[in-house]
Amino acid sequence: MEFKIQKNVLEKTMGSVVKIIPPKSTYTILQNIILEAKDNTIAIQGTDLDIFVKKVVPAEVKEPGKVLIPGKKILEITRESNIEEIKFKLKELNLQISAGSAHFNIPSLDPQEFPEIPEFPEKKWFELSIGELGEMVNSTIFMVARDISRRPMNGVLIQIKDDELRFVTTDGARLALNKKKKIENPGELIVATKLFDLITANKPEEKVALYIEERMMGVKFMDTTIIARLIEGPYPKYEEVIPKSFTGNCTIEKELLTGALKRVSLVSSPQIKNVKFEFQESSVMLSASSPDFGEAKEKVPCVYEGEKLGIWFNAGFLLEILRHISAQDVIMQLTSQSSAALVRPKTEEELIYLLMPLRIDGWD
Amino acid sequence: MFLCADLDAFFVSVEQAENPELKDKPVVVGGLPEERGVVASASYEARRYGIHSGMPTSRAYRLCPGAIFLRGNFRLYNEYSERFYEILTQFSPEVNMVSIDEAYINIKGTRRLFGTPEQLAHRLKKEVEKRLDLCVTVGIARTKVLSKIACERAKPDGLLFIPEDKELEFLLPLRVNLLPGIGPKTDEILKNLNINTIADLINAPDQMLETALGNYYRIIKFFINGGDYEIQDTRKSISREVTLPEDTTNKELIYALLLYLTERACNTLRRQHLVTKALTIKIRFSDFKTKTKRTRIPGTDAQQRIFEYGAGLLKNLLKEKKRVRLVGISLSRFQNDRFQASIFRVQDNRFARLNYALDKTREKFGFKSIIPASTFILKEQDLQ
Repeated sequence: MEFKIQKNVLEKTMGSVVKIIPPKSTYTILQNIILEAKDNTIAIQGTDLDIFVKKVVPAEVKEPGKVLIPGKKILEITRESNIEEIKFKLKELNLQISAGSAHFNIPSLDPQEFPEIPEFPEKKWFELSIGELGEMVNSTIFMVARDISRRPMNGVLIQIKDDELRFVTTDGARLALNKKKKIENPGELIVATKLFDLITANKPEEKVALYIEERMMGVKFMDTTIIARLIEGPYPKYEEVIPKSFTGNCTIEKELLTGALKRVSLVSSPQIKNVKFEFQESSVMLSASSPDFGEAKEKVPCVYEGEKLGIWFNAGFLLEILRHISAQDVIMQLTSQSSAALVRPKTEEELIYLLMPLRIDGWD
Repeated sequence: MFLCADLDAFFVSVEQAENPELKDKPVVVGGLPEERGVVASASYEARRYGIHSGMPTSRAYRLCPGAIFLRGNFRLYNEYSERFYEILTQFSPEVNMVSIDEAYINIKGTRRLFGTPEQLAHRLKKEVEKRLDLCVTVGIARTKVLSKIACERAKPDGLLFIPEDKELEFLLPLRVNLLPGIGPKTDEILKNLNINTIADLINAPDQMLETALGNYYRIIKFFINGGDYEIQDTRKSISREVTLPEDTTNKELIYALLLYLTERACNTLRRQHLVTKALTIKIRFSDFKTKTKRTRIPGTDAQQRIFEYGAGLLKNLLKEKKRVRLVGISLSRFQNDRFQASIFRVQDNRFARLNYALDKTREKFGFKSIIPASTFILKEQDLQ
């Protein structure tokens, strides 16, 4: 195997493949990547056994071949090289790298030792732009459960149903749903969040295509193909928990609410972050107290229709939701002290968040 | 501001509260003189004869043959301890039980409700006397360490408040062994250095202390300078178990007992605002073989859920068709998020409301004021 490649091309490509390499694994072979040269391209592949990523970039190939080498080390060598073009040559089991006047001799491994890479799923599901995907992902992914006892909730549910593409995440106390009109074959899958790190950092106008199979999904965009193992379901029945009607409707300026919530929650219990919301006709009163820090309250003007209602929320949870809404005004819809509140931007109905209240005073 | 509340001669006082004939007499709990036990608690009358806890009961008997020796009823003491805790929670939401008869209470922000710290302490003492017929000694100070020292100084049946500007004045003349962590050994080392009071300790050069005590001197200095213990729940698990008066194979009775114990444990769990994520069931057979089974569960504080898992484990343990002597439950792996309601587990939200009502009722009218029908069999068998 022998080839020449542009330093910046290699650095960028290696950079994104190495991202998937597990930092520490008992299965040390995963610290390596496959480098394959043929037809004036270089294919670079890496995996953490859940996600297999492959990138193909142009290079000047003199002699085709395939080699298994330590991923991070090659990336570091590439990064530190001060020349435009780097030469690679396999001599027996050593990979010789020439970067200007610097020369390296890196021992390589037999590519046979690398875990078997699954077949790319055949059935194409749908396509959208990286920008659109990024927007769906950013508005939902922050809510994925970190608690590993509820496996399906550790992933993102991607679903096409009723001519809508939906992204759903939940941590058990909150739920995020972002939907978009899409007339395609119905289907659904649950996939780990780290997959999206590999996709969304690319040019937003490029297309990304999703492929689906029973246990695997495939992703194709630009020079990249990814195969990801799916998380086994069933996903919690999210549609059942989204309230259909509400008794209270509040429209409020996002910045005003955010500011007041940040201030009032300063004195709430640091573990529970409990802030009380008292909704009335033209305002909502936020209040909090704790034995250590005293008490605080602040009135925020709003438009509220419905009966007076007092309800407790975890301020941290609500602030995080507000951070992910870009609209100027938000709508909060409520039913009772003990049922989920719906929070969404005023201007769009495609993005909704549910937030369960806190059970303070046992809900009288 | 912290209040340290410590029940005086706890086990003995409970016995005296239950049986007034024992009052004002030398009473020792821990075992009968001919048995191999040690003194767990001695009344102040018995202490006058030189009896103290940790001493073999046989020696206590030699010191005071006229004393009344009792084996002790630990279930009863636990019950009193829980009632003590209930009383304390009326004064502040932040109560940390550090042992069966001792607690720290954060009384910051209670002035409007209960007046000055001393007024609050008086009320607390009265309440404990009225409802439990026990004496409690109370120390109040800026830190837990200081409140504990004040409490030690005030025993028995005392009350001592150390205002912030009197802290040093209070500490300086005290013996060093009143500081937390200075046991007989460290005390001996310090005595050899001619350090007897806290004033001596403060005046001693750091280097001398470091040579004598190693790194520990830093901790002592930290306490003297107003440092405090971390606020943390010392509880790693909550356990309840019962030994049956008679071994049994009656499954109905065994399951009823488990339900009763689960309710008890969950009641404590909720009072600490915790949820549990692991559950252990313990069973001892008539041949004294003990078996346990443990499982991880999704975080909850509802006895309804926990009993479901517990009964599953118990069924497994009862496969051995032997007579059962003891049943126990232990909750562990605690988490602090019981206030957050769940979107999907709607049933849990219902349980939470039900249990809140149960807890409130029991707080007011006693634990047995409301019981599941299936545990009625325990009442019939005089087990509850």
